[in-house]
Amino acid sequence: MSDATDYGARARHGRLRPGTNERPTGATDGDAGPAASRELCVLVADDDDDFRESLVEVLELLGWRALEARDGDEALALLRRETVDLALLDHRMPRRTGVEVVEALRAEGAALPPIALMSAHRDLVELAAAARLRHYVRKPFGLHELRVIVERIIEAPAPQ
Amino acid sequence: MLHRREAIRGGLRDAHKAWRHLVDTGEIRTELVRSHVARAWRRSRACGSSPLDARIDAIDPVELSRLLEAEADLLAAARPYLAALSRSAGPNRHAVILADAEGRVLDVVGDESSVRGPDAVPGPGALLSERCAGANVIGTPLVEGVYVELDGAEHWLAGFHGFTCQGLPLRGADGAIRGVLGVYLRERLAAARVRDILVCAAKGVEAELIAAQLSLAIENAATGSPCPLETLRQDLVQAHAAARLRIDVAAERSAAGGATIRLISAAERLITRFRRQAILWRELADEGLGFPAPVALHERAATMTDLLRTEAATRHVELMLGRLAPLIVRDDERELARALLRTFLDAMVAAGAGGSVQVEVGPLELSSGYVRLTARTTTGRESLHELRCPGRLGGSR
Repeated sequence: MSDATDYGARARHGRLRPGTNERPTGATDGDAGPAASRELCVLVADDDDDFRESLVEVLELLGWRALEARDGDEALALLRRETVDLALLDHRMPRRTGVEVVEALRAEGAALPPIALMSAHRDLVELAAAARLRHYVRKPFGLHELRVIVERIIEAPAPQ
Repeated sequence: MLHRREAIRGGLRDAHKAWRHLVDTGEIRTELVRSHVARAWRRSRACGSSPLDARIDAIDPVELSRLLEAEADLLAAARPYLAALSRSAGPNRHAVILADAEGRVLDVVGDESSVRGPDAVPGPGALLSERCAGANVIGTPLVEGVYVELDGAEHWLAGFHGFTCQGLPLRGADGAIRGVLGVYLRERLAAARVRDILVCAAKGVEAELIAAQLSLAIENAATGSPCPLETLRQDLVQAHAAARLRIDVAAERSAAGGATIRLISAAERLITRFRRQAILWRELADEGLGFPAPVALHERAATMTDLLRTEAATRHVELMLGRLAPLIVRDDERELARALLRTFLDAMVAAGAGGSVQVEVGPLELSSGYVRLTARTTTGRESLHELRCPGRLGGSR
């Protein structure tokens, strides 16, 4: 399990509705319109209060539920405890970087939800690739970029 | 609302009367129009253009293609904000125009009718400098250097009289005007709602230009630099990134007729924070010597503390601001920035994980000032890290 990519793990994790342990039906999957989107739960992990609060506001505006973590340890604890549909992890955080959070979960053999690494790092693509993360979001980004990215990640078919 | 509507109608009647008089006699009735309009009309008249001209000149497609390539950085910086402004107009007919420093239109977004319909605003390549198109919200802000609003007949050309327009010059990282952002609306009352977002979006574009320059500067920065320039750049971009999200949320709320003041003021505060940190970062990235100039030492110390907030958090060191006495010293800004950073880094190393660093600024005898950092380890051991700055020009004890 420790070698699972976030994407492969997503297939095991499934797209779970917050507060339930039920995997959505195929019909719901294929019908993931606004009603389904409203139920998404996204973890936002970033130590910068202004950025994190802004991002939470955007996610809520888009109709998604947001969970907040202020550092890598909080993110790890939330990912262990909560079922999330997507985790947006800042790379440069106190206590653990975004990549270290992912590595810790893999080491535990935990099923990973889809994860997107957020950073203004100039080598973000390489950073994400080295951590075997398929998704990344370069800072700064706007509401519509975020919506497109999140929907693409959530709606992407899981690899066989 | 009734008073505002009446004031608008009265202003429009006066402006239209003044414009008719201008067309008939060539005279400007300054008592009927706002002062910036009178100034713009005088300039337009001096250029010899006619208010009745129906055509707006444009550069040819080859020249336009070259222009778009040359202004690629401005276009890239402005694009997210053009989209946000367009969304903020909601269902109202509107267009948002980006032009270069010569008033040449680079990009237009808006509703289909305003961008491509029979009454469309001028598209890419159109020449909207005052010299070419008279008083308008692209050319006039370029001359005035500030925000300009033109309502109906306040525009020089009759073709613009159906619009309420607002424009704002965009300044590059060096402070020089790089272009203009203009909003054209058919509905006058919607203009007031969009204005605050326009002003904030212009600041956002300017911040975007600065951020792009920082990325470029990191490529050229000295490898032996004592400071983690790239990580600091990532940290300071956070404020800008947060501002952009707030502007986007404000645009969505505006479109839905909701309140935007809190979001816009938060975005403006974040952009100000970003700009302050960016200035300090550029001084750190610049290897050479600068010039002795007056520096507000207390502000530099506060900005450095803010810039190093994440760096300190990743080292598990608490950075605290103590008494910062207002103090102006005469010093080389770049050298001072580098020395300040070294002092902060030394203090954080001394404090160690779990420790703290308190920052103070105060005056010294012999016309100098200090930045004093008190590092405290988890065991309570203290060490002082002080930067003395000669050439105190002013400040209080």
